[in-house]
Amino acid sequence: MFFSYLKIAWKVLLRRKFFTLISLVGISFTLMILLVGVALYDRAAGAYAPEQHPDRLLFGSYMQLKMSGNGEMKVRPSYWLINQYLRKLGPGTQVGISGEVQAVAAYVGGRKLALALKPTDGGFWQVLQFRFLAGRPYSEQQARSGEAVTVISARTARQYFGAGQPAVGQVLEANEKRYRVVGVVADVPTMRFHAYADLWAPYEPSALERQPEVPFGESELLMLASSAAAVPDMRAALRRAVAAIPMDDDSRIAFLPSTLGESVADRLLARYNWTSKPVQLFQALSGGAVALLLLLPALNLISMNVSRMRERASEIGIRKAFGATAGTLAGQFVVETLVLTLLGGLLGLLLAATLLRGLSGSYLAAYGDFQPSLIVFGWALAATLVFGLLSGAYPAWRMARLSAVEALKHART
Amino acid sequence: MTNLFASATDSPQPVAAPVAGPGRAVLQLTGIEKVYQTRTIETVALNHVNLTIHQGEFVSVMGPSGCGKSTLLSIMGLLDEPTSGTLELDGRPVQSYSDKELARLRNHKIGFVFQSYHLINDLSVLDNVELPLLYRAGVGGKERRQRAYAALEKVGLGARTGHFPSQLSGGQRQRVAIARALAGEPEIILADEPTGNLDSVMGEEIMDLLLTLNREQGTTIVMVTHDEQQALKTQRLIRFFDGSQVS
Ligand SMILES: Nc1ncnc2c1ncn2[C@@H]1O[C@H](COP(=O)(O)OP(=O)(O)OP(=O)(O)O)[C@@H](O)[C@H]1O
Ligand SMILES: [Mg+2]
Repeated sequence: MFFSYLKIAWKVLLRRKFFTLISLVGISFTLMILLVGVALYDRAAGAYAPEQHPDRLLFGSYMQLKMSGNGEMKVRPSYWLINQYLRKLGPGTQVGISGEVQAVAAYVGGRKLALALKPTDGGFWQVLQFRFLAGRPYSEQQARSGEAVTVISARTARQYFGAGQPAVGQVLEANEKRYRVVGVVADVPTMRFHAYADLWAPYEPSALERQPEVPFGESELLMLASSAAAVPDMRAALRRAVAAIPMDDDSRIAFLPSTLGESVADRLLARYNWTSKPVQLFQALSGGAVALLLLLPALNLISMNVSRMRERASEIGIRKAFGATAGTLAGQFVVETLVLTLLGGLLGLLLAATLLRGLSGSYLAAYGDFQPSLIVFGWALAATLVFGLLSGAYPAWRMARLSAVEALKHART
Repeated sequence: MTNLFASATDSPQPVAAPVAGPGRAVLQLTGIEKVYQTRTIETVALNHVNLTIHQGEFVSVMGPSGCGKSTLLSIMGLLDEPTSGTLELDGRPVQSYSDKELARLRNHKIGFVFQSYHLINDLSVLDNVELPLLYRAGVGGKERRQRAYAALEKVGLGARTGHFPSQLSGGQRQRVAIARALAGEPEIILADEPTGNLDSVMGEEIMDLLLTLNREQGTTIVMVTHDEQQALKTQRLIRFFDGSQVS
């Protein structure tokens, strides 16, 4: 019987090409957008190198600063502040410092190579777990003494030294400074903004960043706890360390450490100053977007099904007159909806995979290697199925319970 | 307006077809009443109808428009329930059947030809005709197609199996509807003006088809018609007018 349901469903869907097309577009686009959105977010905030343990990481990117005579400001900490007061956050906690990415230029055979350089201390390499393809990171000692060493990405190595050529031990010149390459790491996507660069070199803080008593600058504090359970202790240690910073009477500093996911939400929303609670806003927005996205094909299916009911009513009456039971009919409509939803789902998966493939190679998300999440696909498909069944099968089931004559009265063919 | 469906007459009608002699009662209507209640008016479509249809009979029903003929057929075909009264099928009151059993009876025992065809527009002619067999256990796809095809041949539409209802003329649609009723080889065929939309030649052919079916297969047939000539060819004529019974 199931097979003949399938056959009927197939025939009906083929005959109602317009309805089928609209439904398929609705379902597949929803799934595609969901899958692409989640894949992008996952690539930005999921557990991938160099942030393999997001549950153990905290980022001190911003602090709330109140200085005498001024209001509160949200600012980045200075190198001096972190280096002076926040280096030691208790046993088991690794601490690193990094500065903002700078654009530098290197030349290969007369051709200019625009590169992003991230200044870091030695601790940076302990906090984040880069995948080293060759060599190793520079040490804290090397970083402190301002040695001209660098770690470069695989792509930079390829572009500067040529594919397959050894890079470690070679010299790379950028902004007229000669760096000795000590390590090559796997490419990092731009979306991984805490770690991303084309080359990393010891932090040489500017005069402003080094100036004592100036707490704000352009640096970032990175922290790694020994385990996820130790994160609250790490937060407490940071609070104590911050409280111990000597300040003028009216001045106050409060760090706003964020997890990887929070910092992604923050980056997406807070820079526009829409809100003081970017994470909550991000959750609300994405939750709303998902609900809306799922609602669209559901509403679509409902309206299409309702408008078809008149015609379907006579079909139900006819089938009943020739021996279909209410159960048989409900089964037929369920299978019809199932086929439609599954087709739309597969189409959506295909579209998402194609789009993500295109994105993976684009400048927008350099080095991003996106995969549609099968778990999200499963959930979204299940949600669409539920909506589809409610919208299509429930009215049909009610119709199926009508008496044959009642159903036939709905249409005169 | 109150329409009175007269009690069935027991007096014999002019009969042209050979009389097989009354068999057992397949359909027995006792005090059947059907009242349609709408917001504004109440219509009595059937008023205490007592009627017996015997096995193997070919009965025609005549009467003016709106006097309840289609309603009567719907009730006999288990598509609608009477407001009051009892309908017995093979000696058993149909109220005692479950919904599932009723569906089975509609499938096996009854073939319906509707006044307004009622074909499924999304299905091809062949698929439409296969319908009664689709809901019958133990009939495979191949047999279904063969039997549907044979039924279409009988009504002269063997060449149109792949068409869709919208591509057919009214007469052709009616023939498809007849083929669909034949395909399940039911014991009873209930036909609501089966030749109403056909020209007289085609009408003759369909009438001959039904007569043959009745004679050779012993199929019980109840047919609503407006054509006196046709009615005279059947074994019994039930005639009614507004509120009065005419034999
Ligand atoms: N669903 C309904 N609701 C209200 N009244 C109805 C309904 N169905 C039929 N009627 C009324 O019942 C009466 C009998 O209708 P029916 O269709 O049985 O007539 P008929 O004898 O078949 O007429 P015709 O020869 O025109 O087909 C009519 O007056 C009709 O208006
Ligand atoms: Mg009628």
